Amino acid sequence: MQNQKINIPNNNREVDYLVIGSGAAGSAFAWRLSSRGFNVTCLDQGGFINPSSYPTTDKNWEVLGLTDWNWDPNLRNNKADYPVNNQESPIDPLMFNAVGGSTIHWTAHTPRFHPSDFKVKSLDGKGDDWPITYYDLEKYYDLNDEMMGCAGINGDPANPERSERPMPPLPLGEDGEMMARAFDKLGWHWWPSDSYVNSVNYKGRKKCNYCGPNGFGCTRSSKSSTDFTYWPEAIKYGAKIITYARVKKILTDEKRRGIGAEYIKNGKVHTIRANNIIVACNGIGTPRLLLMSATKNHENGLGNSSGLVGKNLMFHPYALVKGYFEGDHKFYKGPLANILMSQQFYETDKSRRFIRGYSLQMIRSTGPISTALSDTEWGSNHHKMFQQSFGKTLGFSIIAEDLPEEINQVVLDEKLHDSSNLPCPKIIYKLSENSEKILSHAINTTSQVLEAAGASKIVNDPLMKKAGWHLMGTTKMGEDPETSVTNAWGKLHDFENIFIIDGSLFVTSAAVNPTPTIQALALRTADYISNRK
Amino acid sequence: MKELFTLTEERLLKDLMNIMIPPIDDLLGAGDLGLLDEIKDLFLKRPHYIKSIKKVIEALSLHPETRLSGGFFGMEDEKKINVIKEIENELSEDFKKLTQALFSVYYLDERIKSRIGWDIKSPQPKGFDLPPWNPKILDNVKKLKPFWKAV
Ligand SMILES: Cc1cc2nc3c(=O)[nH]c(=O)nc-3n(C[C@H](O)[C@H](O)[C@H](O)COP(=O)(O)OP(=O)(O)OC[C@H]3O[C@@H](n4cnc5c(N)ncnc54)[C@H](O)[C@@H]3O)c2cc1C
Repeated sequence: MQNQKINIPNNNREVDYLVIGSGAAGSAFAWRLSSRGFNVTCLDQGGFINPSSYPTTDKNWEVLGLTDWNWDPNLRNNKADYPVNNQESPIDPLMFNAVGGSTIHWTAHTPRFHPSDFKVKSLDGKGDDWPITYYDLEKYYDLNDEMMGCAGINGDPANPERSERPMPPLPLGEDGEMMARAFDKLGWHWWPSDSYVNSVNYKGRKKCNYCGPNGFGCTRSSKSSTDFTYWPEAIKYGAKIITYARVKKILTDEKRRGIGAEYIKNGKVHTIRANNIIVACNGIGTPRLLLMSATKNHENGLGNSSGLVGKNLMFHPYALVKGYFEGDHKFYKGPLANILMSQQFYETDKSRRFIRGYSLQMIRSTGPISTALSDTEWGSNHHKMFQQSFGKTLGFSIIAEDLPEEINQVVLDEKLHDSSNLPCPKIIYKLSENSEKILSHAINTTSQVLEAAGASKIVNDPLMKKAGWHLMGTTKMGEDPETSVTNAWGKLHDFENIFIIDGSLFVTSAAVNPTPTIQALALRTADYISNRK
Repeated sequence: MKELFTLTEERLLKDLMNIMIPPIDDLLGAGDLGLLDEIKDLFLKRPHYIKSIKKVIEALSLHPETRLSGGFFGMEDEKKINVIKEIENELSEDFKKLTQALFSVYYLDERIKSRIGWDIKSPQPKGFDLPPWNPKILDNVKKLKPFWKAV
């Protein structure tokens, strides 16, 4: 536990805004604030990554995806990573730790929340309402779309009207059009995906050449990651990043203020003094840091007077439904998951046995090694199975809305430590009955779509394990300090100057990929802070 | 450099590889294609793979059925398959690594790539072509009335 009387040496640097974490949220915040003349310094436990080191130009790219570039930090085991104890969760959390954070690995599928997503308690009697509405975020969604580069098209009947996207949609490909016609046949909604992937050259980054596996990092920067969107701009405005700096604890005074942070770089502990502290370490890293920063006055971790730091962890439970198509297909041509999406079953429908709903995100085939590993068995059937599946499968990942439950949580593991000897997070998570019902409904409807598209065989994975892409809810925002960790601007109720700006803030999870909402929240908090002055 | 596998281990592994990926058309099984060296090359720097593979080999050779038959090679194919399946169940994580290693080297081999029609070295820098965006595809779905819930 940290002693309250901290002596910070004079020669330490002093910053106005200390951002911890340089991923989707930290970068957006740092850009916005630095562009308005504020002094911003960011610490990240990882460094800048040279895109030419991404696997997709290497002949062993699929092997690298299984090993050094695995989505799972426990399997990748980079120096910048910290292990996560996932033994008590059916879903493994995935993330990347570097400048750009998990946007290095993400697939940049970027839908928005619906207005109803902010009102789950009022509409459906579960979870909570957000202290803000869709319309509070709308202009920040637009700003983020412009900065990150959104490809897409207006007119989607499942979502409110919105401003023009900066780029036209990515082409659907023959496979995408085939699936679109299947939805049309059923009279169900679909719409071209919004993606932060360039459909045309945009802001100095090249148009996508549709290689497929953009989730291993994009060597041409056609897929947006914040090391190439927000950071260069923020740095131009004077923002600084200290890389390979792992924050050990946030330092606080005896009043209600954060005063800096202790971080480890090159094996040494450094102290940095700051007037404001902004935490953007993602839905697992953020509660971990708050819990690690416990003091005599805050024995259960910083900002934890409600007892909710780390609680209400939400993933999106994912199922996968895949169809096999006869004929000579090459469905691996085109981005893996930036094609189209259906929100036919998004909103609550009382005639179903669950509340809230789900989105369907179309996915293509993969390379030969991944195909062999996911679609074949060893032995006498191997070649036949491979031949039936390679380049011939199309499917959907089902994104189910996850409702907050306090039993689902991030705690500090008593035994597991990272390479800096800091305690690691442990995930305790159980799939809810509502989620089970959503997934089972969705598997059924998705199978109907694949059947309508002409699939000769349909298989499913009812709950994907390696699918903890979305980390949310662990420091929820709200008006009431007893039932939430931060206020509507992400400021910890317990402190004057410590803000959270990542997915930890989510009150509910919606049924879409979360990052545009995370970044919109970060931009909104930046504006709040800069207007406050 | 110390050999990764003993000669006996190598022999068993080759046999196992032939069973896991048998011959097809004019191509030999994975063991006889000489892919063991590729496994060694590719996974030399990833010792946890080698460790798992060794564990599987050891379990296969110590299995009571194997010993009763005087070794893995002496067994009939059906028996071998049953023993492998048992070990796969018992050492699922290690077996998964072995499968990853084997499928990786197999599908990286030029002879296999040419058989399956995968003629690219890596997804980048060339990428693929897609036909351009076709706005007419939206004609039907545009007829749906807006159905998001206003709050
Ligand atoms: C494979 C994959 C695919 C995905 N696809 C999509 C998608 O298609 N659409 C979508 O919306 N979302 C997707 N996501 C999720 C998306 O990447 C995240 O929602 C988003 O990056 C979260 O932003 P963040 O800023 O909260 O955290 P991150 O981007 O994860 O960044 C957190 C940063 O904090 C740093 N950090 C953590 N702890 C410390 C510490 N103690 N000291 C110093 N630094 C620290 C980390 O190094 C990291 O750089 C995907 C994620 C993955 C892994």
